[in-house]
Amino acid sequence: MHGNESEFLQGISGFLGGFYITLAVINGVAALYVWEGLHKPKLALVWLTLAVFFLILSPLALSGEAHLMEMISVPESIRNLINAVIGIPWVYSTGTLLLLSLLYIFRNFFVKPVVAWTGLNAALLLMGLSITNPSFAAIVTKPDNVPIVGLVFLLGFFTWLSANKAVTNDQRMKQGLEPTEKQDQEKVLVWPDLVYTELICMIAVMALLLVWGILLQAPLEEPASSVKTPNPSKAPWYFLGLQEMLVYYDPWMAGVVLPSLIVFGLMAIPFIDFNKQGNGYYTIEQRKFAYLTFQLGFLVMWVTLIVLGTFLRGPNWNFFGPYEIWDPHKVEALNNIDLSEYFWVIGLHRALPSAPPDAGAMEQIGYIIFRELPGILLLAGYLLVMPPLLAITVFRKFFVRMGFLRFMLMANLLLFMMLLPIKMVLRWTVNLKYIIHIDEYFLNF
Amino acid sequence: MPATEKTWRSQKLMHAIFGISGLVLLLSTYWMLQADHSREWKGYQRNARNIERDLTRWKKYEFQTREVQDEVEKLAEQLKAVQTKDLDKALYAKLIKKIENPIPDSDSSKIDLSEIKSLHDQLQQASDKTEIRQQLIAQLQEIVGKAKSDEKERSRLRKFQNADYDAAKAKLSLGVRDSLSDDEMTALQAKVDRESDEVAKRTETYEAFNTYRKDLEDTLGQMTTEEVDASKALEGKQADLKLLEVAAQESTVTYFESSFPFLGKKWLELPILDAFNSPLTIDNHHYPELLVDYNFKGVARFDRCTTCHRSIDKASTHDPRKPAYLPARELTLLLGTPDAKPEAVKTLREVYGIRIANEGLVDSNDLTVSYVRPSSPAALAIAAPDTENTNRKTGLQLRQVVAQSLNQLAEPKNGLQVGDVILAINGNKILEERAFQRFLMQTTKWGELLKIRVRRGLPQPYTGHPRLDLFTGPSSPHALQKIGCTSCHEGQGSATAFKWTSHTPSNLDQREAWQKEHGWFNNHHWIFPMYPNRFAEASCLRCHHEVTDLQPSERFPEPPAAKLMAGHKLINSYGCFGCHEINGFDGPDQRVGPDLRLEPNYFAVAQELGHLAERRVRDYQKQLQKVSGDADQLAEVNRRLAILSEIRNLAGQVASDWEHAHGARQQLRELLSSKIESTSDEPLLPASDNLARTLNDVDSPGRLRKVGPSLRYVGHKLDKKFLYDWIQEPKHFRPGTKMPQFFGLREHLDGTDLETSQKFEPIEIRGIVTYLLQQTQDYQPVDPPTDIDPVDSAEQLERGKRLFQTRGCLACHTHEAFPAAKPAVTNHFAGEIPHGPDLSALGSKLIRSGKADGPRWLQSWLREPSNYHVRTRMPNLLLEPIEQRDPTGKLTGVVTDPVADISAFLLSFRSDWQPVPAASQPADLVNLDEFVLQLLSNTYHQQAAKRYLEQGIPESMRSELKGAELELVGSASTEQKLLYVGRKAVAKYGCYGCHDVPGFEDAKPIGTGLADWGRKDPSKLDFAHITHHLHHEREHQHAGHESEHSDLLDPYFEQLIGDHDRAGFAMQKLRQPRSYDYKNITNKGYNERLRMPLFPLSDQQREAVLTFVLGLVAEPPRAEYVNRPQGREKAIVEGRQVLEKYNCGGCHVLETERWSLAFQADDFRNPPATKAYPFLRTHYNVQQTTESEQKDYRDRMHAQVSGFPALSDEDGLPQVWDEEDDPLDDEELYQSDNVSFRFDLWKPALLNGNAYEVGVIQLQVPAPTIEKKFAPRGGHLTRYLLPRVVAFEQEVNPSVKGSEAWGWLPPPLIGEGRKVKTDWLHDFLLDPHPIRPALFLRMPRFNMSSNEATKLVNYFAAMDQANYPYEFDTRTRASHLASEEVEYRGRLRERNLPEPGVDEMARLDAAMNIVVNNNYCVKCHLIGDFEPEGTARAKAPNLANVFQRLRPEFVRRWIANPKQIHSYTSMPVNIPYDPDVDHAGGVSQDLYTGTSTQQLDGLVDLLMNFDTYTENRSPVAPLVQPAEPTAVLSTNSAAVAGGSP
Repeated sequence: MHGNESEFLQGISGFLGGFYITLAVINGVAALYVWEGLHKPKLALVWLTLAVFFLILSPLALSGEAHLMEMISVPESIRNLINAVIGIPWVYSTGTLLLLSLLYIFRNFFVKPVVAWTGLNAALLLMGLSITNPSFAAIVTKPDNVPIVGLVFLLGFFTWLSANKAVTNDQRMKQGLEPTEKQDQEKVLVWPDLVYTELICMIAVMALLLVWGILLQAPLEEPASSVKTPNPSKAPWYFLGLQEMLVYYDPWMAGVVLPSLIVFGLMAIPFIDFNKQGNGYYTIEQRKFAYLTFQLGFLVMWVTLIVLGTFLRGPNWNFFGPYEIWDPHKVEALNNIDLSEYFWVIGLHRALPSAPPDAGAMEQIGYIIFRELPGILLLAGYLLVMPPLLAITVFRKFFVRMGFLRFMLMANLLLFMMLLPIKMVLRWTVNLKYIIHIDEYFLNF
Repeated sequence: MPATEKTWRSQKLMHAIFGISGLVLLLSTYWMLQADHSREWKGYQRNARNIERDLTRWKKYEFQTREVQDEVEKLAEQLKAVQTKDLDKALYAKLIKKIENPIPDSDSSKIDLSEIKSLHDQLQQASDKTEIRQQLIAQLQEIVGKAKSDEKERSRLRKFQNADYDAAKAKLSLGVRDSLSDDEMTALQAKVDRESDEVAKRTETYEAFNTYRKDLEDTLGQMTTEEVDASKALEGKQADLKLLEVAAQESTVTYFESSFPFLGKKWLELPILDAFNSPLTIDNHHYPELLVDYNFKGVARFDRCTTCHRSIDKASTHDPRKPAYLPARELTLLLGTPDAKPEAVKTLREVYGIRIANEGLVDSNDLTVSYVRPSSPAALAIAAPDTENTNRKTGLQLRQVVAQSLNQLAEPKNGLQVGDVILAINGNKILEERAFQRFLMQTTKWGELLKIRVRRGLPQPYTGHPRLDLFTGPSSPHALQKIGCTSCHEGQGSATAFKWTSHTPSNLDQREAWQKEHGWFNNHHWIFPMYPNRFAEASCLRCHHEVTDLQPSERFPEPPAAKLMAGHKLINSYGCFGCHEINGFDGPDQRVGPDLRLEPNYFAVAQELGHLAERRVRDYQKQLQKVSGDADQLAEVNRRLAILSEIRNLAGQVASDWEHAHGARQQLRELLSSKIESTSDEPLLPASDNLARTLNDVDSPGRLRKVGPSLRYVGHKLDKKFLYDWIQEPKHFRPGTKMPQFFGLREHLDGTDLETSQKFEPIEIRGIVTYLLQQTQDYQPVDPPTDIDPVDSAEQLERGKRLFQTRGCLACHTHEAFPAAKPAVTNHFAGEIPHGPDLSALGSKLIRSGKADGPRWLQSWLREPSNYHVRTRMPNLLLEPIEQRDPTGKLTGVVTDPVADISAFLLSFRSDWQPVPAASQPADLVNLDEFVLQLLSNTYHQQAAKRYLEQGIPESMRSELKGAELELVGSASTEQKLLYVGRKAVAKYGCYGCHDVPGFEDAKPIGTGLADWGRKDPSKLDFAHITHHLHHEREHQHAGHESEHSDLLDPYFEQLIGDHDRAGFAMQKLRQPRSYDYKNITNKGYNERLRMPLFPLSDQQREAVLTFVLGLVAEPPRAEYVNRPQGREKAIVEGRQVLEKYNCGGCHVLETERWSLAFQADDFRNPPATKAYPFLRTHYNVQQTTESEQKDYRDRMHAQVSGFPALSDEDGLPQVWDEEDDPLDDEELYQSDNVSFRFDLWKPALLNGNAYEVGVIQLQVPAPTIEKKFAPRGGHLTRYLLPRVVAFEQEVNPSVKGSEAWGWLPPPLIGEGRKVKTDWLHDFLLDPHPIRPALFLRMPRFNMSSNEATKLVNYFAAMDQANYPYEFDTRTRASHLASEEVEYRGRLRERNLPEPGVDEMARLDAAMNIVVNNNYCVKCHLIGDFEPEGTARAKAPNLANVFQRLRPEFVRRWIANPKQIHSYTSMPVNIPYDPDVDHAGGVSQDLYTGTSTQQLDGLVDLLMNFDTYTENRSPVAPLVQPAEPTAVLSTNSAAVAGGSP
């Protein structure tokens, strides 16, 4: 990007200045609220200071001058560090898992409004500091991606909100009180309390859509061509999780079996769920299994994959750090090995079993099965042995309460869900290509 | 819990939120409407509308001048005068009589005529007759009206009756259907008859009424003719003004109007209302046949460009072929002021004829000219000369400039025009009208010129298309309605906003301005961005596949696509297609673009086969001696020898002329592919399979020859040192060479990359040299003629120089001894592209020690070029030995060999060039092994490669080897390694793309095909680290010398590279072909490096090449849009290709110079009245004559004249005269504006209504009247030689005239098509023979095919609208001759003259009398065996051959008046025509009885029937011996045997 650097900074300066001013205003309002509503002058002062800080940043941003913008950017060393760390494939997924675990474990701390507000400010500041980086900006400000950025923040907010309510309820219930929702059993009026609110929402959404439609034009690209496909070729944002699965599984698995199981599993939840607690109010303590399974399945294995697919997957479906140039010339060495090869060639030092050239169909199938036996056994073991094993160990209570059929269903769904992270880890650690690799019948697993 | 009235949330707050959100929604809705409504294009449309409105208003001024108003008044008065006249009495009486006697049963009989009569009486007496006359006419008209209604009524009755008649007939038919009884049928038939009678009756009545009405009308009409005519004239004068008023009304858009309907159209521009016929609309042009390629589907084109570019097809009011407005540019004019201060009251308009508008067109503050009176000082203002032009030139320089005949295409910028914006006067800025007025009316120095700086034209998008004659104009070949915009310009035609249309800036300033003003960005999502202006011509190629159809033509004299043509020419002459095939075909007959491909390599294959066969024959002959004992073996060897000699024979035929040896090629191929049964498995010819395949027929084969010389025999011509030096850097020896540089291109290399280059390049060069010399095949030089007298070397050099200069070499070649002979640059994009190489310093090149015998080669080459290189374009100059003559023209008996002379002359030039030291040193073999190993490792495993390097490739592997590896079979000596390296290098660098290299006959081009490169996906181009390289280069230059800055890549293209644009890629590729290797090759093998060589092109030339390449998109539109010339046009287009290929224009003038003149009535002398044969006169129709007299607003008439500047008799340079009408003195200085030229018309012209015939009078053209000059096509050498041959000739004959020099040089080919017969020309082109004794040089024999000759013949015929391919000649018909003979004899009898015998051809004999009379033809002409006395220059072509060569009509015109065809000819009018004397002139009646025309025809008939005439004179019958009786017998028996009676 020679010579375009200053052009880029000029282009972004207006937006960034506005962004910081908005942050300042929001923090000012927050300070006012804390002062007036909560009567916490010290805290109000903190937010006010923060507002002033943002206010100072805004003229720097508005200047559009490279040397001034440099001061409100993430330093290069840190950018490189982040790029390098994110570039390690397992860091992102395990990192998000770890982060969510931490949030879960220390949820009592994180649900505090002050902490959340600080976190939000930190996130927005980080975004502001990052957006002066052309590569980062190019991805984040792409008209397709802007709503996804918004969604990330919305999702964070709602996750926090539910956790906040759940923690409050849990604390109350520990003290023997009933959940907050039970307190408000008072009925409200359809008009104005329901319909009026809805009307206002309609108007607000309408206005939002109009402004959005004017400011962010529909991202039209060039006419589709069979000889020149976009690189990277991305699915619509809501399918990016599925697309990420395609990296690890064959299309029939990632595109057909797993999505069907997701739908099927979601439909099965009411029948599987035996926990009568937590009806009509937020709680974590009383529904730990359900909460964790959902958060794992939704946040880790769906949302973070969407974020990953949107922001970190670049040309050739390579992994790119947030500040890295999406250079199609980047090459990642990906030498993956099948399990059968591990077993026969590396383990036993012999060629893969293969049928003699004149073998009949059945004989060939026999050979194939023989060749893939390690994988087949492993998978069969996983799906057949694990449920009973679980039933007599961690899920002992579950098994008792659910009965055989319900438990097996739940266990299998759970095991299938876990197949994805397992395969991911295997890919990253031992370059495992397929556990079962039957190319002859397009049956890879 | 019971419900309460308490709400959950505070209602107040909710209301507030609701209020705010409602407000936000309102605002955003407004914003949406606003964003949707105020679109960019509306502003442009409003402006365009205002411009239009202002212009219409200003146009009205033209009708408000005194002259026009006077005229209107005059017409009004005329009308009035007519209206006060009495009515014609006779007509009145006639009318009244008619009215009084109407048709019997009409109602008109009741008409009371008393009132009319009384009115008529009153009219007679009245003093003011107007009103009464009016009343009277009205009354009369009423009567006519009555008659009309009567007639109508009768017509109606007849119609009704007709209907009844039809019904009756139908009933009768139905009766037939229903088989009614006879009675019933009879009744029905009776009814039909009755109705029919009735119809006839009514028709009669109607016709009577009709006639009556017409009668009345006619009479009344006659009475009022004058009045009607007068009022029509008045209306006609005001019609244009009325139209303008209506137009102005329509283009005015306001909210309210002063009259009904009160509400203006502007309401309709408001949101929502604009759905109903808004005055502002998007212009949609739909082109369903011109598709945009959306990858999966071709989608109809939808152009909305004219939404903003409203005036793109608007023509100027002065000239419909010129746009109304060009892009704004500034110019300076000189305005003449009155001699003295005008009276105080006078206005600008009265004094200068100029008016200033209240408001400017685009910017209302602009001081804009709104009216210029024709012929006023303002209209006559002239362009201020540029400072450079004011330099005075000497007379000689001026004349030399004229002799160069350069294009002068700039539009003359004369006269102030409507719309000009005044910027400054005499350097003072003018901002308001008062200041302007002050300058012009008060402070001026009267009588002097004022310098006015104006801005002419409008900014985009309000301009018209600059080439309205070619594009968008309704009469242009690319009308807007038919072709649209984006089909040529590309871009997003559907878009209506600047940035979405994919406009593409043509330079960086524009880019920056657009970014600022329009938010332009490089929208790479639209894959068809507009061509930047500088490449706009590229798109012509999409439809113009022949390319030559884009040359200037009669209809479009200004080059339609100069840059593109330059690119085409460059590609053709630098031979890009040798490596980069440009295949114009997709399948055998699907044409997709220009076709630039090499011709099939048949000749080289045949030569190689011949060579192989020859070698084989020698082997077998040796074997033959050994095996003489064994009969079987002997037979086998003999059989093989027979086949081989057949192969050799066929190969020889194909090699020497494959285009005409189709059969031999087939046979050869079959012979090679047929299996040769043999006892031994030894192949007959090694490696002949591929060669045989290469002999196959090709569907639509390429037509281009390799541009470089053949290297098959190069060892006989050049030595090792020269070759080494040349290959390393061609321009080291010859700075102007077209050969590109392959080695030493290292500016992008450093470190180990650079070292590798330095290490391996010398080895490659050494290898190539070794290969070429080792592979050199046997070649037999042409022997010099015997009987040449020994020569003195100084004399020989002098002769050689003269011959080199005059025998045509300089038409294609340049030489340091003749710097002035360089062709002028006709296309500044192409620059100088020599046709042949520069021949300076040939001595240094060819006189070398060693085996190569350069001088001998040179002589052989000059004698017969195709002996050395079969497909060379160099013609055989037919340099036969010359018998020298002394100055008086007598033979001296000394015979010289021109070849030896020229060759001695050429070899006498040596330069201080020395081969690079490396060329002389023995090969540096340290790196050879390393290099060979690297090459081998590409093919073999490392271990094997090492083994082969030491021991060579084992013999057993020979059969699997292909190509270079064969050189290493057996052993690996240094020589073999070098051969291996050489062969590899030739293959790698593709030397055979331009040269014929032995061993590479079947090799394929090495470069990327370019047929669709203009659409190549930039993601498929490897830009590598080019931006870093360019950056590095820039830094480096900054650090270094300032002066080298011009070498850097144009920043525009650097920007394009940054945008990953293919044009940027290609530009840099041409500039530094290897630079994409920068930092990219350290980890690659040496052979993987880029190998494109550096061509010696200038930046401008590169851009021209690029323009052509970008146009290669292989996406032709539908067939009807592709320009596929037919008929004559096709002949011209194809002919031009051949003309260019053989550089015919190097010698011959193909088209004359043309001057566009803008002159005043008295600028030219009227042509004198001459007595010419009626058939010689050019006839013009009335329209042409009036057009030629049409004056423009500057009071000037326009015409275009074709011809050449007249030459001075003294020195053959053009004549130029000064102000006093004296010829220019060569030494003196002159102002180039004040001179005048003499112009020889070569085509008749019509100036100011006067017909100027060719050869009658020279036009005296004052320099300022020349608006444009169009350079002639061809004739470069002729024009160079004109003054020089005059000088030569004056050495021997001081009295020769310079104006005759045209006749001693290659004849101009203007009118050639009408002149010569097609079959003769075809044969002549293939095998020329001398025609004109006067010529300094002969037509050489070109290495062309019959097909090409045919194309040339057709071209000439088509250019002259002559018949081709054949023409029937009535003059040679026996019946014609017989009837003429009878008539002639009749004439003789009439005059009682003796009549010759019946066997004699009396008329032709008489004609022959004229021919052989000493005063006429034989004075100059050769005829048969007769040759006149005198010098060669005075002799004329042999008349005995005329019947073969010339068309009869031409001969007739020529004899009638030769000067009228070629004004330069020295042939006089021999049979003068003068209708006023006896026999209408002509020669003496003693020679030929008859009028001049009859004599002329007799002469023509003689010449056209010369064969018949001479046959008649020398009968063959007497020569035949009486037959022997046996012969008769045998004939009889043969007849019997044949069974015939």
